[in-house]
Amino acid sequence: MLQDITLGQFFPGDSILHRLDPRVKIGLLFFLFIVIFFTRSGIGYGILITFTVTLILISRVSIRIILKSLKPLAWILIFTFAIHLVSHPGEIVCSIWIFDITREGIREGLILTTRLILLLILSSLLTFTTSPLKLTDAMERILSPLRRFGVPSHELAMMMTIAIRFIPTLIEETDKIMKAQQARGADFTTGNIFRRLKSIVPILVPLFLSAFRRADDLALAMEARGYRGGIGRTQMKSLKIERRDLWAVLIVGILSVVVIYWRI
Amino acid sequence: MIELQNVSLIYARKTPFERRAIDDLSLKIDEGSFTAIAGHTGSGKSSLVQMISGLIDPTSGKIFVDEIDLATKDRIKARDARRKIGMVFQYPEHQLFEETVELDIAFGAKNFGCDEVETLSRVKESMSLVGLDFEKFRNLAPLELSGGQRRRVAIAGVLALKPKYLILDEPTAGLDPSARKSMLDEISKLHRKKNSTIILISHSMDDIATLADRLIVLSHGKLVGDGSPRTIFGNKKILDQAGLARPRISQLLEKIGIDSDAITIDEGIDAILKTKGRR
Amino acid sequence: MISVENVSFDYVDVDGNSKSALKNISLEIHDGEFFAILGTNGSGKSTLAKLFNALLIPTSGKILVDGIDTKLEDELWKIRQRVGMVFQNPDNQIIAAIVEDDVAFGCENLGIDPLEIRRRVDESLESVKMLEFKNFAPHKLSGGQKQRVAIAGVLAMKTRAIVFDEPTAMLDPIGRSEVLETIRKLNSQGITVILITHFMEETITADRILILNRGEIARIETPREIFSDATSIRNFGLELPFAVEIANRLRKKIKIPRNILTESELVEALKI
Repeated sequence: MLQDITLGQFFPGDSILHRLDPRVKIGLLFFLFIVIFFTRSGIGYGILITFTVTLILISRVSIRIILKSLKPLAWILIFTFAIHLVSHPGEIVCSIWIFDITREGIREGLILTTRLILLLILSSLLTFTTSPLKLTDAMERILSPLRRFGVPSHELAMMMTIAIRFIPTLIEETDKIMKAQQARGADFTTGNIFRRLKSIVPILVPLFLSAFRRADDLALAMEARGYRGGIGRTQMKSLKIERRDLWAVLIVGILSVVVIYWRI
Repeated sequence: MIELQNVSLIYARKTPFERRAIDDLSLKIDEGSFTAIAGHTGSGKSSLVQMISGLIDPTSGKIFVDEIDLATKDRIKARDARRKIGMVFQYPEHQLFEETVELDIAFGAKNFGCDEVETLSRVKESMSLVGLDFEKFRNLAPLELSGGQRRRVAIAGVLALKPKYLILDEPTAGLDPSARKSMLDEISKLHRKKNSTIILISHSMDDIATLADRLIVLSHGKLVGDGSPRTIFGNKKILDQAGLARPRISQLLEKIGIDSDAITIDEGIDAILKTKGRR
Repeated sequence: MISVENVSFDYVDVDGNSKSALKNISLEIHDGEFFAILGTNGSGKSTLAKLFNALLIPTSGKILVDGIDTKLEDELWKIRQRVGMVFQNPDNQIIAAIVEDDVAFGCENLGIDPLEIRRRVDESLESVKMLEFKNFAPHKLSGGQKQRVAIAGVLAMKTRAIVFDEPTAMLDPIGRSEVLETIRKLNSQGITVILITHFMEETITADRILILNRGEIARIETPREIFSDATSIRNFGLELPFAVEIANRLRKKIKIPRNILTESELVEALKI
C-alpha cells in the first residue's frame, strides 16, 4: 500500500519537457491554471485536453502512471461531478428519487471535473518531469527576491530537498516497523478509534526515534562537508533560460489567446 | 512443518516498476531443523521470510504452517498458524518503543492474550535465553543499553511469543566482534537446548557452515540450491549462479592444494594436520 | 598531517554527569598513511574520528591539521577542506535526491565555480565507479553504492585525508569489498586514510593500527606486531584476522613460521 504513492514522483528522462527550465515550467503551470479557470466552452476544453495529451506524449511518461496519479482522488472527482449534477436548476433531463438532474447540472459537472482532472494531470506532469531538486532550486530562485523581506529562501529549499530525499527512506522504515510490530501481535485495523490511536504508539515511537537519529547523523554529515547555510555557496546546476524555454512560453501564450477567445 | 507451494511474489504489479521478488518457489522446512538462507541483497530472502511469517501475502501459490493454509478464510485458524512463527527483523532494536526493557519484551506476549502471571514468566524466561539478567535490566530504558544489549531485548520480545519456528534476518549485522560471537552462541544454544526450529538469513558463509544443517540458496527470487551446507559448498555451479563464496576455510584449503570437503575451521585444521602429518 | 597532542574529551550524559570518552591521547598521522583504528563499542573510536575534522573540539589538549588548530572557529572551513569524513550509515549522509547533486554538495558549500564542480563531480564518480548512476535517486542504490557516492562527495572536495567511520558495518559482503577496494585505491593515490572498523581483515593492509580501549591508547603498531599478540587482542574484545587465527591453531601441532598475517603468507607456508 505504501509503495503505491506516485503523486510527486519524478521519472528521469530527457524529453523537451524534462529539459525545460523549472522556473518556466512552474510559471507556465500557474498561467495554465488561470486559463483553465476562465475556460467554459467545449472547444476551449477540446484544445486544452489535446494540449495536455500532447504534453503527456512528449514527456514519455506512460498514460497508466498518469491515470494512477488520479486514482487517489477519483472519489473527490466523482463526488464533485455528482454534486453539480443535481444542484443546478434548469431543464430537467431525468429524476432519480428526490434529485433532479438538469442539463445545466451535467454541463457544470463536466466543466468542473474536467478542470480538476486537467489541473491534476498538469501538476503531476510538472513533478514527473522535473527532478524534485530542480523544483526546489526553482522555488529558491523564485522566492529569492523576497530574501530582503526576511524570507529564508535558501533554508526553505534545503529543507524541501532533504524532505524529498528522505520520504522514500521513511516510507520504507514505516513499513518495516509496522511489520515488526505486527509480527509481535500488534493489530492496527480493529477496535474503536481510541484503541486504534493507541495501537499507533508502537509505530510512532520507533519512527520518531529513528528520524531523530537520522537528523542527527545528517546534520553531522552536512557539517563535515562544509555546509554553512546559503552564504558563499555556489551551485553546480545553474538555471539558464534557453531558446526552448522561450518557445514554450510562446506556445502556451498563443494557446491561451485562442482558448480565451473561444470563451466568448 | 512449513510448506511453500509454487509461491510467487510480484511487487508494484502492472507498473513500470514491476518486480518479481519470488518466482515459483516450493520448499518444506521441517520441525527442529536449522535452515540457513543465503543469497545476494535483492535475491528475495527478506520477501521469502516475510511471506512465511504472514506479513505479506504471496501473489500466487500457497503457504502452509503445520498444514494450515495461511490464506484460509477461517481467521482464527490463520492467526494461530501465523503466531507459530516468530520473526526477528534486521536491526530489530529499532522497533523498541516501551519505557522499560520488561514492558517492551511483554508487548507481544500481552497482544497474544497472555495474563499477567504468564507474561511475567515468559519475560523472565526469554531474558534468560538471550543472556540478560532480569532483575538488573527489567527497569532500564532500552535507550540506556548498548547496541548489542538492545538487540537482545528485541530478540527476547520475539522469544516471549514462544514461536515454534524462529526466523532471524541477519541477527549479527553491525555488531562488534565480541557481541557477534555471543549472539551466534545464543542462537546455537536456542536451537540445541530448546529444540527450536530456526531459519537464519546470513551473509556469512562461515557462520552458516558452523550453525546450519540445511542451506537454501536464492538468486533473483528463484530457488537455486537446497541441501546440507557441505553439499552446497561443494557445488561450484550453484555458488557461481548465486554469486556466493565458499567458507573462508574451504577457500584456504583449495589455495593450499588440499582436496577436502571441510567447511568449518575445526574440520579445516584437521584436514591440514592430516596432510601435513602424512609427509 | 594530523597531530593529536594530549587530547581528552568528556561528554555530558542524559543525567547531566560528565563522562570521559577519551583520555590523554597523543598521536601523529602522517601524510599518505593508511591508519586504522580498532576497539569495541564504547572505546571512543567514533569520538576520536569526529575530533579529526573539528566536528568535536577536545575538552583539553589540541589537534593540529596541517598545523591549524581545530579549536579556531575561523579556520574551520580550512580544516573541512583538508579532512573529509565518511560515516557508517549510508542512508543518513546522502543529502540530495540525485546522486550527482549529492556529490556536488560539498563543493557548492566551498563556493567553487560551477564548471569546476561539474568536472570534479564526474571525475569523482568515475573514480568510485559510480558515473553510470549519476542520475539515480539514492534510495534505488545498494548500500555499497551509496557509500561510494558518499566517498565521491568527499573526493570532489579534494580533501587530503578522509576519515572513514565504520563505513562497511552496515553492508553485505559485496558492498564491503567494493568500498574497501575503493578506500585502498584512494590511499594508493596518496590520500591519507583513517579507517575505523570492526573487521580485522580490513586493517591488515594498514600502515599502522591504533587500538583504543576505554578511551585510552592501548597500542599503536604495525598490523603484524599488533596481531602477533593474540592474548591482548582478545582482552581488548577484538579478534584475530582469519589467517593469523588458523596459523596460531596449527602452530600448536606443527611447525609454522612466526608472524604470519595474510592469507597468502599462510598458503605459502602450507603449500604442498
